[in-house]
Amino acid sequence: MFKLSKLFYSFKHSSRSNIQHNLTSFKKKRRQELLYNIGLYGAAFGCAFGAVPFYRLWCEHFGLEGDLDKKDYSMKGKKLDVFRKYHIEFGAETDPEANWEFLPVQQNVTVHAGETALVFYRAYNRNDKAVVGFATYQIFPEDAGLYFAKIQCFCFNQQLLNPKEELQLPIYFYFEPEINEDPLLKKCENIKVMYRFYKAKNQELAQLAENEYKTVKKNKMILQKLRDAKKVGALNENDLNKIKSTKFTDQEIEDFDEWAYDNPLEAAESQKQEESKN
Amino acid sequence: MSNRSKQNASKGPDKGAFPLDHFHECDNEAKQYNQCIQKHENMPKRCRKYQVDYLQCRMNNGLMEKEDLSKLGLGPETSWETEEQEKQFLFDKINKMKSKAMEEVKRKSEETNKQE
Repeated sequence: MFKLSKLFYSFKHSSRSNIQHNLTSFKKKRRQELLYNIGLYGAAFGCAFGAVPFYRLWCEHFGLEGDLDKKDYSMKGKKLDVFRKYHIEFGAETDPEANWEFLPVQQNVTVHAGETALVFYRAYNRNDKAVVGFATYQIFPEDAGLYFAKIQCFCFNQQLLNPKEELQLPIYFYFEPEINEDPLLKKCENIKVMYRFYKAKNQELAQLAENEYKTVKKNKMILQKLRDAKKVGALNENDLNKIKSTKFTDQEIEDFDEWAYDNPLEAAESQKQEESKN
Repeated sequence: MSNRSKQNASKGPDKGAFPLDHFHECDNEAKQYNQCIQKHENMPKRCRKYQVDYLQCRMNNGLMEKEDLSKLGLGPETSWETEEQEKQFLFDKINKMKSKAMEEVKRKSEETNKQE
């Protein structure tokens, strides 16, 4: 109010230039205030976002560790009904597109609620190429799925299977002790866990794996050439660059003896043995 | 049943997915565990030793986060021996009660016989 009255006074009792000056200064002040406001809101927003990593760093610095990630599976406080056992059957389904074997090693297991158990699935990739797969599971009866807790498994993640590779895929799980008190599952003794292994839609991971494998081999071949060249004599820069930029055909890459490169001593020994035989 | 379908939506595993053992570093332990489980009627509790071996092999080779075994629920409280002990204890209890009851029955029959 005081400022407005000042304005009026200046408006009445001063020349034109004075009025302009006051108007521009008024506008300036308002603009300043607007910028301050925007800055304030932006800072508040940024603080809210920045608080998460800041809190983490603070705790790390001062050693205040919260056991947020480390869950306790020892069932210390709970009383476990050790004698009520569940027969858990494991099933497996595969994608008909993907040419691989996917079977459970243990067809069924007997556990009680709260017991941590380890189960294996066996996967064998019959293809000549690497395949990327994705596993999901289902539990029957559905109500029991509420209590199925996995500590670690091979599901919900894209997994790469190399060609002609057989793998043991583990599942580490337990059933929560609360399953014993569920009225809908009073008569439930058999639970079925069905895993499905799909071929992932984007096989990029497999492509990347193959490309990586090839580049590693190429590098080894180049290094082998360098070593052979060094045995003859010292190298100057031109020769070095030439060797570095050699291009190999696909056949050469396949024929390269990688084992000999990785184990030079053993390779030399086996060569000597062959020569002594001849 | 349909009310629970949202709750049952599959979550990811607690510790994330197991990295695959491409170099077959823990295959021996896995084989031993599988053999043991076949012997003991598919009860993982009786093969705790091999289970622990496999998990420790994974931890040593960087395929699993290192953690206390008791935290993973593999301590002595949940072992097969304690279960058998509990079974034995309960069995003895029942036997005692049975023998007591039999004695009572005998005593009463003797009394009735005496009375007659």
